[in-house]
Amino acid sequence: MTHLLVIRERLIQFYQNYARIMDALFRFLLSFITFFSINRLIGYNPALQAWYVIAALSIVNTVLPMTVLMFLAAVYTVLHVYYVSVSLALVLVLIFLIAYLVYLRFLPEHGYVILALPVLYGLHLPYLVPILLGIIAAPAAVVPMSCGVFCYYALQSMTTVIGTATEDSMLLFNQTLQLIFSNQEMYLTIGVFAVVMVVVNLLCSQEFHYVYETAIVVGALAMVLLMLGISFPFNIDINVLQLLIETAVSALIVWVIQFFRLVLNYTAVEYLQFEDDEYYYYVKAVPKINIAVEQKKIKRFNAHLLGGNRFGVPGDGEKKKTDIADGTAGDQ
Amino acid sequence: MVNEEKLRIMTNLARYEQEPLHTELKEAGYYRIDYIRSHLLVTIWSYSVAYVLVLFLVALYHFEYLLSKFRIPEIENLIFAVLAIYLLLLLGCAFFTVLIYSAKYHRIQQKRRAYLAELKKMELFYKQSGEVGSE
Repeated sequence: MTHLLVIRERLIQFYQNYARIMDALFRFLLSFITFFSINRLIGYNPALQAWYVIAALSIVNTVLPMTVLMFLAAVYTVLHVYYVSVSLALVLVLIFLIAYLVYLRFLPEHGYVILALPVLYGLHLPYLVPILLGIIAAPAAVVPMSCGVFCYYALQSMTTVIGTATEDSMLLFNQTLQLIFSNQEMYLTIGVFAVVMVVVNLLCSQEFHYVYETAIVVGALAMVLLMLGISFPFNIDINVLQLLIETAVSALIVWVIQFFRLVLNYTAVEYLQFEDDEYYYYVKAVPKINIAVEQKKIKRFNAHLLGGNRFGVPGDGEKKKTDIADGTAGDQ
Repeated sequence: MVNEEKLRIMTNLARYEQEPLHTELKEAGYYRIDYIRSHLLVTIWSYSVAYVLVLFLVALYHFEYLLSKFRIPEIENLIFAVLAIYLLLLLGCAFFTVLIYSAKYHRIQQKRRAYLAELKKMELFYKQSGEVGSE
């Protein structure tokens, strides 16, 4: 555990030393993953699938605000759909516009959660979102999470309808809408994700030791059991091995995020009681773990005898020349 | 020579001048009624445009019915239903907008008071430095 804490401190220090470069790199990677996932979900346009197009868009995104990523992701999706169906692309533009006017204009930060779900579905890690949101967000995050699941299944329905369509007409829109709203799997997935998120959130608000780790494990188990539980009675096709692996990897990633966010030392808990004019206080103080990373300083003795400015130390002859140039030689 | 106290006050002030606090502090200068009214107008405009777009999508969905089976005398009922739903939604929107932005105004006023307190500390610091300098 100490080694992990040392690695954590070194990584945090490294990030603090090169924060601007690291931020740009993370934004590039995030944009790249977003466009790559969209290509996997709904990649109809071969011109947009080229790696240099994705790279160029990702580079553009490193210098622009993060809200532009949502706009570019929406435009990217519309361009893919436009390649196969003009009518569906028009409908998609209207839907994005309605979503912006009614919802995202007032709560733009929810857009990141809505965007994250289709992207993570493309990377086979959708179960990460409810567990992570249960730990870091309020229960109100169920709303953008449900919208994100809806977005993913809407795109899935769109690809199904496009795959079976023989011509481009407004009937495609009707068929897509009917397919979306009759999709039982979507409603059940939204329900399972909401339950898991609320369970994790409730656990995190408790006061026992190792609460975050327990919440992650319980969240992962609840996810597996609920997904398997809904698959049998509702005839939903779920690959059990894939579900187990994806949930385990998601839980591991959430644990790593939580580890970098907050590490508590439960062996040094203090219980305090005190009072003031208004209240009597029962306090449980759990110290954060801050570990001092050793910094090696190498001091070289007699390095000046080697000469040639080895190890940044001028040799004896060079030191005398430097003294003359400084005008300090006469002082000795 | 960097003065630590001055640096601390200026760092706190700089935090308030970063987004999104910077925009919120600007908005905190409005009177409460003006603040809520401006956001209400924006909300009404956004929801009206969104309602028209949703109507358009619903019309597209029922395109075949509208073309083949829809009759002129039914237009009155349709217009009445559309307007009634629009007014109900608008009232609901307006109610929640007033509620939410009233609470937000109260919150940003507290932040504005904290920002003004930091500005006063800065002013006091300059006055004291000026007095020390003149001595």
